[in-house]
Amino acid sequence: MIVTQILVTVFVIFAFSRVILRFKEGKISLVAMVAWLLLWTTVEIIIWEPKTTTSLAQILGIGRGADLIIYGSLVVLFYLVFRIYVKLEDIERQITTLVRKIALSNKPKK
Amino acid sequence: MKLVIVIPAYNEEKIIGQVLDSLPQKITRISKIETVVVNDGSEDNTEFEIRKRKTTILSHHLNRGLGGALGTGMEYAKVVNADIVVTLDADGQHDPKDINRVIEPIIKKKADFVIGSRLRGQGMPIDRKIVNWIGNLVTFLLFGVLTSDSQSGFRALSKKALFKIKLQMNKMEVSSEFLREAKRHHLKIVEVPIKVFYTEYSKAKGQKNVNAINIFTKLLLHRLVNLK
Repeated sequence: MIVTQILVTVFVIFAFSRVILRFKEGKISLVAMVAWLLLWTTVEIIIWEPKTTTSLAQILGIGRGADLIIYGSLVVLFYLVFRIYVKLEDIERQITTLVRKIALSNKPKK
Repeated sequence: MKLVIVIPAYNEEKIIGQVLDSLPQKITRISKIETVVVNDGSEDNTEFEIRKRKTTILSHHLNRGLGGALGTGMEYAKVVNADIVVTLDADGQHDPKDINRVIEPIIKKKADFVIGSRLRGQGMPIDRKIVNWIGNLVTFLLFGVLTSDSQSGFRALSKKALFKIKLQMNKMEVSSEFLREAKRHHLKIVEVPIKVFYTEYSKAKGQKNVNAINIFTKLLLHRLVNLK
């Protein structure tokens, strides 16, 4: 277990540095940075103190802490997929708008 | 009255020439007919076939799908000040003689949006009928418009409809989107029966039945998200 914990911690530190770096580069907003840092902090807490999830799971009426993590992850993943879907549709539309503008501006020949 | 015929075409080199040649040159009460083919990023000789004829061509550099192509054709129709717009498929499944029929309710000011319904006519294979029926049901459940052929590509729009209807969907979902928009703007919708030719070519070119699932999923998501 201790090996896993150390490996995860190393990865979390790496993730932290990336997030902060992206924020400094101005690629992500302050809110996004805080959200990501919170997420990775949660991961870190869970990996060192797995019991915290068990007590939280019991409050929510879910049997085990591990189940809570899986349910929670599923919800987050679904949400992210949805966000990506909306974004993709938006990009598709922008491409169409662009392609249309080009088609109409090339004076139609008869 | 000026009529603009919009034909979206993607890789239709074999048949587009025939379709264009069979279009009517004169229609009663129509003073000017302009045909515009939207070449939707075809990789074959579709563009060459179109350019051989006296037809306006608008070229998409990238394939955007049926909805994208129809949208471009309609934008053009606005620019050239069309009074009536007719859309029809480039795969030869529609009979251009039916143009008279679909524009009649608009000329008589009895409708703003006319659907050329294939189910009221004859010639559709049974599997297509089933998929179409599901399409009609989904369109009704999601958008509250009940028609006998919600997925028809043969339709006519009045000038009012042309300016009111805003299309956002890029692909085949656009057929249902037309109806949603027509309903949203309280346009008068009328159906007229049309002939349909189901040739081996048009069957191979048209939508696969399985594709219907994608369309319905997309429509449902759009209904839920209500994307702008």
